[in-house]
Amino acid sequence: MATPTVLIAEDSSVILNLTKKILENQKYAVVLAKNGAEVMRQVQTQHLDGILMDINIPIQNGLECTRQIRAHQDPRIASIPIIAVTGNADNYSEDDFKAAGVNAYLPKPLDFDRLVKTVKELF
Amino acid sequence: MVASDSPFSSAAPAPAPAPAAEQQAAAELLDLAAVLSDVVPDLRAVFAPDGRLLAHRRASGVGADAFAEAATAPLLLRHGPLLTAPAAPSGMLPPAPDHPQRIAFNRRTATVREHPLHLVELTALTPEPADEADPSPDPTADLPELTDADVRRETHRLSTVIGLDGVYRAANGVTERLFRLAEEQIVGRPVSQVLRLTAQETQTLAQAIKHSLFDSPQHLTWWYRPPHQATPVTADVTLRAVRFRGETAVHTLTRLLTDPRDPIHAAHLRNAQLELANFLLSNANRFQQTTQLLEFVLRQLIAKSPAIGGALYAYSGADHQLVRELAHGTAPADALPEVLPLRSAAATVARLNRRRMRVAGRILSAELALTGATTHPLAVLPVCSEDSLHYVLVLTLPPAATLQHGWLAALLSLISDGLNSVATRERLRHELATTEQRYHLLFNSSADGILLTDGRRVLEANQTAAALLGYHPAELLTIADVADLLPPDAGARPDADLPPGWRELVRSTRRTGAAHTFETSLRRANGRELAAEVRLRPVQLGPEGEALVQVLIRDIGERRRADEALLRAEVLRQSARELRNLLGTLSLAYVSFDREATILAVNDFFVELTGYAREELLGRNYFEVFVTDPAERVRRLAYYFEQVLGTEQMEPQYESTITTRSGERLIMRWSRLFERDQTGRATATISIGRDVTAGVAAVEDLQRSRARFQDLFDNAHDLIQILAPDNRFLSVNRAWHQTLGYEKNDVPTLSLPDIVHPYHSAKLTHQLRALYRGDEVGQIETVLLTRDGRPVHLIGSVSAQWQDGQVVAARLILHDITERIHAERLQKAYYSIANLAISARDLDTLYGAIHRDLSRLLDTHNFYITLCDDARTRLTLAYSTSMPIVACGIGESRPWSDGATEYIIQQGSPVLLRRHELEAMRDAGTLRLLLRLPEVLAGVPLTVGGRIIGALILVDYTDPDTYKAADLDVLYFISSQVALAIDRKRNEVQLHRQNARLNAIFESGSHLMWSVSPTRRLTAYNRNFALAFFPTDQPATADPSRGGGVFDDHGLTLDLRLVVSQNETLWEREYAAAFAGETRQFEVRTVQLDGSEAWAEIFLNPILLPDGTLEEVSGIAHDITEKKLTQLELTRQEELFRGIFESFQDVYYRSDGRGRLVLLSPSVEANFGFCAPDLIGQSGATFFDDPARYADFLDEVRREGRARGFEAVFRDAAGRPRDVLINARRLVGADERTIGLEGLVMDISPLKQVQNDLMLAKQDAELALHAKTQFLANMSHELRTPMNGIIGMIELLEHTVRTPVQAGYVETLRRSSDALLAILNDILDLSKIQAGKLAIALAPVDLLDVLGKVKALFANRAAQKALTFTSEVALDVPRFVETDETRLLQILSNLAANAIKFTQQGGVSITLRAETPPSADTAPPADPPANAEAAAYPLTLRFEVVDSGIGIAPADAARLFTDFTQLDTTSTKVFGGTGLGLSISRQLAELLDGSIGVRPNPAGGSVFWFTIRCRPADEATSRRWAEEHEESRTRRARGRFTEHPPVLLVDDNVVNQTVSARLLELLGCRVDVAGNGHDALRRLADPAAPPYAVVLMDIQMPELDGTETTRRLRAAHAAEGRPCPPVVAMTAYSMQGDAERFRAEGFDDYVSKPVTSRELFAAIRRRVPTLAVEAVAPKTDGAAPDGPAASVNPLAPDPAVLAQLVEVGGEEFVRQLFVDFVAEAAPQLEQAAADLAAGRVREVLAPVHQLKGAAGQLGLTLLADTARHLEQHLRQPDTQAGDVAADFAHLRALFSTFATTCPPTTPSAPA
Repeated sequence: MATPTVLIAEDSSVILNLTKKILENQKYAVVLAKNGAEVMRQVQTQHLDGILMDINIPIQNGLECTRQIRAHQDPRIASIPIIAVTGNADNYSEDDFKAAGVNAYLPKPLDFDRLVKTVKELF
Repeated sequence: MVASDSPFSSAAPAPAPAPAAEQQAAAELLDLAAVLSDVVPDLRAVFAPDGRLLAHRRASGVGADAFAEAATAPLLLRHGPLLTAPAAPSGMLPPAPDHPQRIAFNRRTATVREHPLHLVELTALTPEPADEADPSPDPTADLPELTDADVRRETHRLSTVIGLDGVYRAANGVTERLFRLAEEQIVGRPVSQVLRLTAQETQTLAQAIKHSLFDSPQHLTWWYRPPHQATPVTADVTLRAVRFRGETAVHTLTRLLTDPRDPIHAAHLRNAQLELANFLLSNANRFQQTTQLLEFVLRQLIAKSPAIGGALYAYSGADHQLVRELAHGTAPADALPEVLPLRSAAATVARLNRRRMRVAGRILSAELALTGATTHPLAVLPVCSEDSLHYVLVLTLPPAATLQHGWLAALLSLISDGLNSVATRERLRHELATTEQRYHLLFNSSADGILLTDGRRVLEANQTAAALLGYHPAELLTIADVADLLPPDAGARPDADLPPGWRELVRSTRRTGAAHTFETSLRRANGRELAAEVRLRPVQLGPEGEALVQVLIRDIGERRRADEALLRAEVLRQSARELRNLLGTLSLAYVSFDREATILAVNDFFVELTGYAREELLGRNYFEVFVTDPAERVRRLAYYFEQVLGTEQMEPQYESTITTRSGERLIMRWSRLFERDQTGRATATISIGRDVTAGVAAVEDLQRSRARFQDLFDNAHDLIQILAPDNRFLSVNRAWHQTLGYEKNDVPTLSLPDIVHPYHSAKLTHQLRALYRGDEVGQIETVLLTRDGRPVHLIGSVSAQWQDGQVVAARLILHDITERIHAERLQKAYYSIANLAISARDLDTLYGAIHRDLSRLLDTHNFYITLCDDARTRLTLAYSTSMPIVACGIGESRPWSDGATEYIIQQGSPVLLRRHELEAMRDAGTLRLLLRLPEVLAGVPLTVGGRIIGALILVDYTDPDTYKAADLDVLYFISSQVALAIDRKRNEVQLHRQNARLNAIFESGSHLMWSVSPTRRLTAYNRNFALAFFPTDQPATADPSRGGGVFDDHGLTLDLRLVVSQNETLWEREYAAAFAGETRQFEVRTVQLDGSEAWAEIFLNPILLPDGTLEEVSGIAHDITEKKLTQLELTRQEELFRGIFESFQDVYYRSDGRGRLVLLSPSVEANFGFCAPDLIGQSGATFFDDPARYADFLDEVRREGRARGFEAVFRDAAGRPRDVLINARRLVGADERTIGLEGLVMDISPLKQVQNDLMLAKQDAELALHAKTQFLANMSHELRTPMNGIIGMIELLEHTVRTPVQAGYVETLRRSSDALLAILNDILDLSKIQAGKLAIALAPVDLLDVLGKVKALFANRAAQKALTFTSEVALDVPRFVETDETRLLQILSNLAANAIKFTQQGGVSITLRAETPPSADTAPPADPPANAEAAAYPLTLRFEVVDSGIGIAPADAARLFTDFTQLDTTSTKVFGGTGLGLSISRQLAELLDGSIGVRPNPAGGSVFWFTIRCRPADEATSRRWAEEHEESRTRRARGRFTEHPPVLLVDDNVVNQTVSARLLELLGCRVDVAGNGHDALRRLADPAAPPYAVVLMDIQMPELDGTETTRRLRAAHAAEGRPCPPVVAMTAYSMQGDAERFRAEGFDDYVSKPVTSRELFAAIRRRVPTLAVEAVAPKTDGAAPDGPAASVNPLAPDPAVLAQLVEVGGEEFVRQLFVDFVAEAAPQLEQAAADLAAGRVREVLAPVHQLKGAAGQLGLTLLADTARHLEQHLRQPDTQAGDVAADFAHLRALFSTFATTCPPTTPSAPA
């Protein structure tokens, strides 16, 4: 597949748009999800090369989504790389992220360079 | 008295059969004794304690048998008890009653393998003159009379009188003193006992006594070891026969040669030394093993040299040690250890070459001495082969025996070379034996011939090969090319069955390893060929060895011969047929008959001649047909069968008669030959002949006329014989018969050759043949043998009788001249023998020649020459042709006894004894010891000048008539010549031997030896001398046979002075002294032929002839060049050293291994007042004031090998303490052991004094500085407190200004107070740094942020001076690093402020770059901690502040960074400042592990730079950290509390109370003030008081300080269960890290004095975030003179973020983002407000969080911060709506402000 597809889960459209722009600049195809339910739907309906997951999203937060994805019966889905994004890094320990199955995490506000670097490494 | 085989069996009872072990032990003891003893007795026997003889061994000399039989056995048995009694160890036994023999008897007891054994040694002695009934007149009749007084008068020499029985008769005082015996202990005792002589010595003495009686006085040189004295001394003994107390006695005068200065004694010593060396070396070949020889040498040295003991060590190369093999002498075992390990230095001895052996000896000697076991001096003699050490002889010398050490050293050096060559020989022999033995056994026992070749030469050949090829094995190895073993034509023979080139085959085998087998014929040494099968096989010698070829040769001749025999048989048959055919046609008679004489073939001629038909002859017996006379037929048949067939030989010409059929006798002359089969056996006889009957007739005529002459013929006196041409006797006369003894009937069977003496046969035959040829033959002289074999010498004439041109007979008339010949012979023998003495090479040749000469005169089948000594004690068999009549071998000797020889000698005249006479004498007892009685014995004594030296004896065992009286005359006639010749030759041989020995000594070693005549001519010199001094083309050295030899007359006219002309006068002086009889020793420097310098040590010794005259001086020189040059160099070095040494200012010393001083420079007096020599030997410890310090010193030297700058206190001579500095080092000997110390001691007392003074001054200064720093630190609080009041009041005043003028005043006030505060802070910082109180707090820092802050601080100031102010960051600088931001800012601010201050135009820029971190491999590895630090802080950042200002002179640059320095005092006024800024910057940079400096700016102005070390920080960590310290940013926001929270202010200072209270009130707070801690506690406990939102607490208060007050406060609230309000500390102690401390002490937060309203607001808000606030109108802030910051909209997005966003998506995209942001957030906030109002606090969280995130992402910092603050509140579990209402409202207000003030259409406007 020539263009990797990345799902961005983010409830703030400002950040969503900004992130989308950044990733598209890097030749990624971007699909969006504004809450946990959408994430789970998107995951099951198409192939994804990675998920940029805000933790603070409605319905199911990012960690729960991650846990569900990782527990998914389809191994292709269960193995999608996930980057967590949070503005409340203090509320979570690295262990929490790891336990959930996150591959990496980025603090908010997002450093663009670091975002690109991390995404390129994983997706 | 005939000998029996077992000497003891006849007389002794058969010894009980001894156990084998005992006999074995006895045999060993004999072996041991033979090795250990230098005495060779006639008999050694070993007895068991009970007298049983276990074993014995005879000396190999003459008479041992007889001695043992006749004397020893009965003697031993008779004196059996003596053997077990504690008999004297040595002595004379009385003679056995029935035997006149005197015996020296020596008994020792030894235990061998637990068997106690007696070893008895017996030596036969010469009978003393007194015992002999000497018929000669008493020679002692007119001897001088000697009295007791005469004896005792002698006071210098030992004077004794010895009786002829060997017992002392008298002795003088000198003797008593020397022997340490009283007179009665000497007189009456045998000499042998007193002097403890050995048997041999006793014998020598006895002889001397005897000779002194008969001849002139005797001189003896005696080695004498006085009792209680270890060193033997040389004694010169004169013996003189005297009459003493009426009896004949011998007077001895003994002079002890103990004085080495006595030249005669020295010469004696030297002679003795040569003699001893010669003796030792000449014995070298006697021993099978080197150890035996060395033990012999050791024992001899102990006996005959000063050495008192010694040991032999074997050197073990594997572990470098000497292992003691054996020891002898005085207590050597105690002194010389069993094993002596060689240390490293001495181990090299093993590799030393021989030239340096003496050095090796010294090293070994030192080594032994170092072991400390012995106090005796030692002499060491290493025994080496070419390249390695094998043994070491160590000799123990008496403690004070210095006298003879030189003598001993010279002796050792003399014998060392001899021993070394023996050692070499043994080693080589051993190597050869072990490696080659087995190989050779196999090699030589091979049945095939084996050669080993390298392709050309024969390298090895076994005996089989040599035998096959007919060579001697050694010859084979000389063959140049193995191919030469082929016959010369082998290669050329086309039919040869060997491959074309066997050399190529050999080489191919060698190269490729291929084996070849072929048959060939090889050439034997005699030129014949050897048919052989040859196999070539490759052989590799060793893994790396040469590839060789083994040639195996198998003789296949047998096989070849069998093949050839078949062929030959066929050829023979063929040739026989052809021969017969040929003979058949011959005109000669031909007959052939076989071995039975059966006729096989005849030819026609023969048939015709004999008249028989062929058929009548063939198959018949030849002799039966042709010999008719029966007698003749028998004779001829017998001749044919016995002679012809028996020997298979025939005369080629033969005459015989045959009778024809007609009965005519024909004389036939036959040529005959054998027909042989292939085996060579004669099968038939072929005779070819012609009829010579007519010729024979002439002889018959002669015979007929014979009768007429017969009478004359027979009566002639001459021997007349007539010979047939075949030399048969035809007729002889009577005289012939009478003279030659043949019977008449012998004559027909004889021919002349039969009776001619073989020696003369050839000559006679030749003469006869000439006669028959017709030549004239004159006189004939020949020898015929009688019938009994005696020669008869004849002289005469011969004539031939001719008939028909043929000789038919010859006549010889011979005259007997035997007698004449005999007389001539005798005379010839006489002269011949006389000449022999000169011509014979040696004695054996002489004897042989005598024998030969004598054999011409007499029958000498049994011929003996026996010699005796003058004393007639022993007989030596010199020569013998057969079994001797005396019981010993040639060259051996036996004691004088009663043999025939002795009889002849005693008779003194010729003796002819027949068997019956001998028997009579034997029965009479006058003659014995004959082994076998001869029929006749002729003997003659050998007499020289009346002295009988032996006898010459002829015996015959068969014929008593062999010798007659006339023969005796012959013997007697020549005996004197024989005696003379023998005596002369004997002397000559003796002389030669002596010369050879002396020459060996002369040529041995490395010494130069020569002698000169009084005219200083060289008379002799050795090879070394020649090599050293003669050019090589000099004839003296060109002839190798003469080179270096001793020449009686060398023919050279070389003047020694010319050779050594450099030292002419010295030499002349020394020679003159030597010729005056002195021994000289000196050293000379010479220049060699090659021009090199050499030194030699010269010994000149006068050569004293026996008569005391001095005709020559001998010189010995040895090369001491090396030693001398070393010595000279040493002297030079020493002088050099001494110069330095004596001019030392400091004290140089050297101590030995025990710390005792051995050397001190004279400067010790100047330094410490001691006199240097007085201190030598004292311990170094005596100088040290503190003994422990000395121990430390030694310890340091021991540990480090040296001490450097070691300080100590010495006591000088006056007892005053002196500070010294010691530099010392350990001295290490050759063996790595410490041998002492050397060092320099420096008096540093004056230096020390100055140092102490300085130290005190420094301490004072430091104390003062500390006081200053402490003062300043204390001042901090005192200064800040009033400053608090001033600054606070100014701020308050600011709020009250009404007019611009007032505002201007306030501004001026504020600026002044700010400046004052800055100065104050500088001073305080400096004092803190100096007091070490300034701590560095490392934390993640954003470098861009830091530079931004600096820019923010100074942009305005720069703008005011119209300067540009820029910054630049290199790309490789990480954005986040860990460092102390505050201090970094402080340095940057200082530099930037300075730059701006001193720059009037242009600009200031700050650059930042990373310095290349030192790479791993260039980093110095020596300092791991530094490295670790470098790894921890890998990054060096370099900041540069570049200005275009007034610049700084390079000279000032250095001072710039010191305290309180301002460069231009005049500019101080212009520029102001404390001058501390750069100093503080420097110290801060150093605290940050960096440096600081300044350099000129090439473009004008200066560049101030500094570096810091830090490490890059993780970005995420940095950000999080930054967030945690976000509060500081909130300070930017100022507001006012709208709810008027109640605040309690606790402060004791009224001014501060006022300031703080007013500031709080301005913030909207309601303030209560407490004046002290108690007041505060009271107020807080007061129920009436309002619930304070916050307590502001001053720390420094009297009575109860802030900390204590807070503690009590918390305790009280906790006790009452009330929540305690937050307590914020107010303190002047503003330091980094204080926050933590205050929190630990119970405070919730702190603000530092002087406090500002902004800080107060921030602190209260932090603690009580729920308080509602309102923003202070920007306008108010904007009015603040702080300047440009006020114009910035705090709500505007961060320009940097904004720029980044634009970069991502472009301006339009960003604008859209902001639109989206407002569009999204606004309704959410609306919703949130509704939720909050409804109390749904949780619902508010999500929108606030989202707002925070989005705002943060867009760079809307204030919004984001406010949202975060609110969010944190909302997250508290018990947060109620009311708690956050104000904050939420604040957020909403800010958002709406943003939405309105920053319209989305112009997002980038603020940039």
